[in-house]
Amino acid sequence: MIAALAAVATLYAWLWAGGGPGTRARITVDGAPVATVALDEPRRLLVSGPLGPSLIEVADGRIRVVDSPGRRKLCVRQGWLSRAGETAVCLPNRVVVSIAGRRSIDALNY
Amino acid sequence: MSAATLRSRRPRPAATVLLGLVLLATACGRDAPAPVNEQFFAFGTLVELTLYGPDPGRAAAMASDLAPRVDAWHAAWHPWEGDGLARINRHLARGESASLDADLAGLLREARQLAIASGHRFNPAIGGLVRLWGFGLEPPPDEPPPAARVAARVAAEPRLTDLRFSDGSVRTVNPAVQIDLGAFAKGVAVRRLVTALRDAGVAAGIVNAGGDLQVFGRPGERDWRIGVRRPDGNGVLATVTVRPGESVFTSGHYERGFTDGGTRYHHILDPRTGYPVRGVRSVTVLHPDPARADAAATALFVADAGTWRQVADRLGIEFVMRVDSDGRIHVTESMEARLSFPQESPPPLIRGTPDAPTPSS
Repeated sequence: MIAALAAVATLYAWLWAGGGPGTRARITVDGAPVATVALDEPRRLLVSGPLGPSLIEVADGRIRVVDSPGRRKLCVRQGWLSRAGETAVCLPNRVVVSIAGRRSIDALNY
Repeated sequence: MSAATLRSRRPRPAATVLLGLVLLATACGRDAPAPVNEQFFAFGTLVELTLYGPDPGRAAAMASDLAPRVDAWHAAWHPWEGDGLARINRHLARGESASLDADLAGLLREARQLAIASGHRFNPAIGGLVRLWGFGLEPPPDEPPPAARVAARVAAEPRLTDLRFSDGSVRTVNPAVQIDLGAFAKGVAVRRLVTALRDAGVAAGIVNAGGDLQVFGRPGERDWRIGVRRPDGNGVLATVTVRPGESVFTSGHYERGFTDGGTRYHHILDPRTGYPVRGVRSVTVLHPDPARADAAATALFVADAGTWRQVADRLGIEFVMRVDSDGRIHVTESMEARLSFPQESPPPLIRGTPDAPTPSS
């Protein structure tokens, strides 16, 4: 039934719910922090992952992944993140973007 | 558009994420001091550790120590790559006896016991069928396999009870048996990670492997609050109260799959038909043993609307939430007591037995 232990190169993304508006986002590559960005400073940045660059945009107090190497681009389709705990995971490129701040839950099951 | 390029300054598998410092300022009185979060990629997914107790440096060292161990388990348990379980599968396909170490033998016996208790709805012997569908492959499949080949796999009725163990080796009386521990191995990995963290002296925390998790200890004086993702989109369907030592596992139709000719094919296969299970979106299970929770989430996804409660009883699973293909939420009484729904008007919960058959099953 189930699939697979195999390392599947799908993009995975999800949203936390219930956190308040965030002011900063943290970006990691392969588990290592590469940047913490303020959401009130519009900018675009490229983050280098194992498969290439992921393009991330900050605007209007929000952050999103504009493009990232991978087949399904779930983390791109997820769109803007703005609330504490909201997270986008670009699994193939091992890039994680998450809004810092207090979350209403301890973890998300999916 | 100009863009700054960032690279990891610390090219190692895991690193500290200082969420704790952010949380500290707002922590309420009943919470413990804020945790340290670690993350690494293993098992083809993101593994997140939430640790109460160790300082960031020690937490990072623990994660760096654990990540390669998870990679080693992944390699040993992969169904068709490498020299662990894959080697055994190659021998079984040829009708040969295969040597295996005590660790893997123990896991296979444990999986067999769970398969029997589930009436083989959790059936790790259908590795050949899983591979035929190709859900674990890259690139992923875009159409179902030929119906005749699916039917042949199902007719062969591979089951873990076809295995015969003797001292240090295993063989099968059914050459169709190919072992895929995909609905079990992640549970075992989570169990081992929690054990390792506790042995290392961590007082409390969460091991979350791609959404399936176990908690240990308490975050202060309260229980844990775990959000369960909506099976039909992003966001949280419900929050579940989780006590020390419990694990939360969900099998969902959204996790993996493809669409062909307007039909969605997800990765959870019914061993009795050879096709993806219809009528269910997700099954969420709570249990102290993450390996049992992992197997049960799949078994109760595969079970019919009218029989899943009996299967849960036989598996010793008290806490179940099952979302059917119409979005109706079926719960056990114990589970209902643990759930809270964020919406202003909570969805109707279906408690009674037996359940009406779902239209598409």
